[in-house]
Amino acid sequence: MTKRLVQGNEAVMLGAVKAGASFFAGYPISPSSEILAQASVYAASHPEFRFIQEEDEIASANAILGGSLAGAKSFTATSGPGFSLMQEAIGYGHKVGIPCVIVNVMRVGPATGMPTMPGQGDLNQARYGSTGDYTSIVFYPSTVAECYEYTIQAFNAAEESRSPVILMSDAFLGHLNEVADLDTIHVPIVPRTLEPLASGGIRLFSGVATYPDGEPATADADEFIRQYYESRDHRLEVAERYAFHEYGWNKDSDTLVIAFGITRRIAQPLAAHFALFRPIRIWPTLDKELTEIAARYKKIIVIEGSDGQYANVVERMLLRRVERVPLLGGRMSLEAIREGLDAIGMLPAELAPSGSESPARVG
Amino acid sequence: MAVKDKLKTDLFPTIWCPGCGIGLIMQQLASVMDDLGLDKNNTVLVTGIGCTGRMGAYMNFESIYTLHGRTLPVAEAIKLVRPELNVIVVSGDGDTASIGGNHLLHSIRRNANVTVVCNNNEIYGLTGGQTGPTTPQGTSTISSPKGATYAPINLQGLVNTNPNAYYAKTTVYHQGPMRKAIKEAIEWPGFAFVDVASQCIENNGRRIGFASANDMLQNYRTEYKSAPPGSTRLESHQLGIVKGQPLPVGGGSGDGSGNGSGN
Amino acid sequence: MAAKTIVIDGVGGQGVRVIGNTMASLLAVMGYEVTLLFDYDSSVRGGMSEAFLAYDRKPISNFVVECADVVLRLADRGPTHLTTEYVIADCDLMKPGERGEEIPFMQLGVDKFGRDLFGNMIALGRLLCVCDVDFTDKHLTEALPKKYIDENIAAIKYGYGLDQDSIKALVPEQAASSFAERYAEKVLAGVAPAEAVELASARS
Repeated sequence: MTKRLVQGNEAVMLGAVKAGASFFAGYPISPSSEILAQASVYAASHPEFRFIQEEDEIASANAILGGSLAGAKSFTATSGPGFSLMQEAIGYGHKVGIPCVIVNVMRVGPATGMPTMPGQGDLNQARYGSTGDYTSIVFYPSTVAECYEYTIQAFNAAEESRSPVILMSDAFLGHLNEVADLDTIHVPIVPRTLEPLASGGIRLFSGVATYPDGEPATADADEFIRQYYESRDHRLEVAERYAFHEYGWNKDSDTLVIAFGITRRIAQPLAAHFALFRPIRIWPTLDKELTEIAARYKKIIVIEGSDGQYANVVERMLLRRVERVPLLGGRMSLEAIREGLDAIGMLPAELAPSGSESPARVG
Repeated sequence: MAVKDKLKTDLFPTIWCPGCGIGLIMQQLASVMDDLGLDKNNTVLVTGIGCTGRMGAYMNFESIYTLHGRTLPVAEAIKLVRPELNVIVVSGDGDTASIGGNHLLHSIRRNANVTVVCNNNEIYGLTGGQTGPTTPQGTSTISSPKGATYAPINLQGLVNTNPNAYYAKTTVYHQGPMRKAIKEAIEWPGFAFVDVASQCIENNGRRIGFASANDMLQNYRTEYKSAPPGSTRLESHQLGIVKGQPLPVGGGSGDGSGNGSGN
Repeated sequence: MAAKTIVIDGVGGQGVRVIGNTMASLLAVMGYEVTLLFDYDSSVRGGMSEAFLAYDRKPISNFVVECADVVLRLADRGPTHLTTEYVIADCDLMKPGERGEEIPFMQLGVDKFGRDLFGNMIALGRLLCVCDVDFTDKHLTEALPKKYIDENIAAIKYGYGLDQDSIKALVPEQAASSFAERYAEKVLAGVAPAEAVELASARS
């Protein structure tokens, strides 16, 4: 392949195939539906790749658990409302230890919300959406080429961590066509880690707390705690190897902007004025990296497509106040960022709209 | 091989209440599996939440104890990815027909090549005896003290919306017909559903006036009659099998048709 | 040079995606860095449909166009927060105070090439001309789908070849034609594009 126009959702599909995915189950929902459509087209000419359009997202998420147990690297794609329906299966995947990838192309919620305006309001859902304690690994790319790259990494991390890994995207990134040469992106592929069903064993895969022999352990706190920490520690250890982030722009500024996914792209015109930290691994949070970098800056601004979901995380992590520029209602634009910066008195003079009456207060 | 090799007898006695009907289904399923040469290398069990779901833990097969109601999406996906495997779903009526109802409807529509053995005790047993989707109208339960308000779901009718599916009604008392039905269902090329009336003495039977599990079994003996040969529709309390036109099904799908699991 | 930014504004079914895709492919074939973002209602047909296109010799970071060098307006459903340098509009879609031109693209598609769909390619041709994109036949052949390729190339070249004089000749007193508006109305109401052209023409 040479350089060509590739769509964000298409890059996800291509990345999945590159990673060795051979099963897709899904249900149509904008703005993720291109992935479902392309999976069906791919399956039509590749009999080894299995595809099913399910009756709903609950079935889709449970199907990829089954497909993965059966031996296929499996994935599904959805958006906020569908992602909500998938949460119970995600919890099951964490409990049982099933590698799979769930792509969430975010739009504005809650509920049906604003189809199909871009949002970033599913960060908490991606971390805490299912019942109980578990350790999610979540990536969020910013470019079409990265959609490809981090889809492969998501499959790799899923195999290594034996858990459902979430790849976040958004309506703009999913529908963005961008010139890219995917052949120049080389990511080693982690092979299957889970022995497929019916390979000679008699394993019991159970969402219920059980002892290794399959007997219920539903009242044994010690056994639960042992298993919980074992899986948590394993997943955190794996996540360490996927500590993707970007640190750049004007590092000499006294202010650090945090932006990710689509907001990082839109915030580019701020480059001369602020330093940038972009988490690509959204969960687990990049505590070590961000703590170290944040210490160099007097102020921190989080620009994000939700009312402070990531800002809250950063405040809690750093135990210091951060400024917020929430981009709500799908208004993902430089103008909205300018207004947000102006509202907190941090709009650089050079970025004030020409002819604007409002004085710029911070450079 | 012998029947007992299909079972993890070292884990016995089971968790089920004395007098429960599930053991009678497990025994017969194990026996049919032995007859058909089903083993851990060619067969997987998928079970749902509820008393019945525990069956997977007692059998020498790989088994997936799914979330409540989600047996069919999991089972169908396994069959799609590994068409060579026998995929057998064992679950209760509540799991299958209520919380899993939408999946049931669509697995039937897609003629998913899986076998469902449904332990139909007409009650939510594990949670103490609440009205279920199969509870007969008027039955007193802990969530319907004045009698269940609505008529039960018509499982036979649902399955038979697919002209290529297999439906059998039997009871745990009628071991011969149950055995035949389970065997045929596993061999059926497409969706096959064995609806087994089964007693729950602890959380249903006593409340509705039975003194013992044996009384419930005897009730099956006297109340259930074989349907006349050639019946295309079973009446209430009839034992029998309603077969559609079997569709030849090949290996694998991935045909991109959007309905690709009829392998 | 800074990235050139283009917005194509229309409703579903009008060809916003076709024009956007074709132009982006052509620019990609010519070696440009291109971003093309589609923004549309989930109902796809009849709802707003926007394309944000940016191209440059350097990779493009912010692909959300807020200050468009050129807007191609096939219907007025566009983003509320948008500043525009120059507008190419189908008839009666220019707004007071805007710099630009009106051309009856859909009508021309029917008159010159027999189908309203070719109006899209005429519009694309005009857009390429206004943007000063210097393409060759080889670029076009590589960028266009094989189906109707000759007709499409002819329509693009026709649009590219329009100048101010010929535009004036095409739109006597701007024809006072509300063709495009009626066309958009019909499409919004769910009428198929070909039929919408007939209905829109019939009333003029």
